[in-house]
Amino acid sequence: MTALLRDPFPAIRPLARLAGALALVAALAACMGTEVAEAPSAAVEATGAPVGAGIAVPPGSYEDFIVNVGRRIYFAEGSAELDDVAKTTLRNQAEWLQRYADYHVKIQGFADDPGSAEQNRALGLRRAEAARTYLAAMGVPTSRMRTKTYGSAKERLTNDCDDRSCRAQNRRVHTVLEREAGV
Amino acid sequence: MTIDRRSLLAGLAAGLLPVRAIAQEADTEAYFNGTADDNGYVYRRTNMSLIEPRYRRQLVKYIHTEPPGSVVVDTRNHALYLTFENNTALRYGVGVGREGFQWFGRAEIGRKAAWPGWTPPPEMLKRRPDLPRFMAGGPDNPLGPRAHYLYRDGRDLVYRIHGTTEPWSIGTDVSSGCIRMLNEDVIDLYQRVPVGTRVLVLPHLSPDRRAV
Repeated sequence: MTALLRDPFPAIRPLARLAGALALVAALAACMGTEVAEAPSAAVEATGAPVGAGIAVPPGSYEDFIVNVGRRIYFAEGSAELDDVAKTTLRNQAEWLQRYADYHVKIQGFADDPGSAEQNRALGLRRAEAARTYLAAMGVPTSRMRTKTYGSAKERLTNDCDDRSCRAQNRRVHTVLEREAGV
Repeated sequence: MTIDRRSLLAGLAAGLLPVRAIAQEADTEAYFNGTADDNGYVYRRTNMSLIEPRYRRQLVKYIHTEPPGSVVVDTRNHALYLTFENNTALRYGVGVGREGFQWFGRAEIGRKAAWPGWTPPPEMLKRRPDLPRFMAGGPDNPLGPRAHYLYRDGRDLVYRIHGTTEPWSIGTDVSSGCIRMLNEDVIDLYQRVPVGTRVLVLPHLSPDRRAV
């Protein structure tokens, strides 16, 4: 449980996804066999089960931040400019971070835009810096924030769709809670 | 239970109130709790204690094959999922209207708007000639504070995920509209889904399409 709370949603692990896919294949295969009743029921039970506290989310928890504030903001192609939607999410984040002052944040920038890997690293950093500047202007002490760019590092991106949906997902900044600086 | 007779009759006449709401909770005022400001408008907050727990926004296990950041609409179970990594998702309760039954498949959010105006589609005007030809955005607009417009191959599918002025209709099939969410929830979703977000609408297999 502690591990879950520390890092409830780490970046996708390819192996875990593969295992999930295999389990699904197994479940589907079982549907066609004789044991129809048992195999799918496990999946049915898992789907819909609350992760964490359900609707009774403790205020100030990681889950509270995920469910009631939101960690991600998105950008237009090639841009590190914050739009109104991004600013609204950042204001909500700033308000929450001021209320729960124990937390530090790692602001992760991503970019999968046209251009080289190096340009995307730079763009990811500009996006993260834009978010930090705005959070600071909203009252979050800079000492509680750090930025990091992941650019277009494959393992951190949404790659399993090849259309503009995935690229929209990858033009983002992710605010990750940390208990202390640099942890 | 007190029954607001005027709104009950009006609702019956318009065919808008879900059956369950009439039977169990005619006092629609109870579904509201104070107000909130949003982008220059004031809307009525939902009294969440009257919303069934399973229709409240929450983090759930969700076995899916969609990439993270996708929307899956399960009209049969009155749920909308925003997928996250590791087979988890944020789940919201929804109400489903007739227009919400008529389309399923893949789409993307092609456009989204705050406090959208509403032009009732021709089919709806045929059923409801009393409706205005255009209704400006605002707290009385049935689309509520936000609308997400679904497109496929650059074409508007006339399928929308929007708010509601009738929080009691969450978790039910109603007579008009597409996918309706609590105003707080549709505002929340709007923050989380960029234009281009992938959407999967599951077929509506409900055996009792009572409101159609």
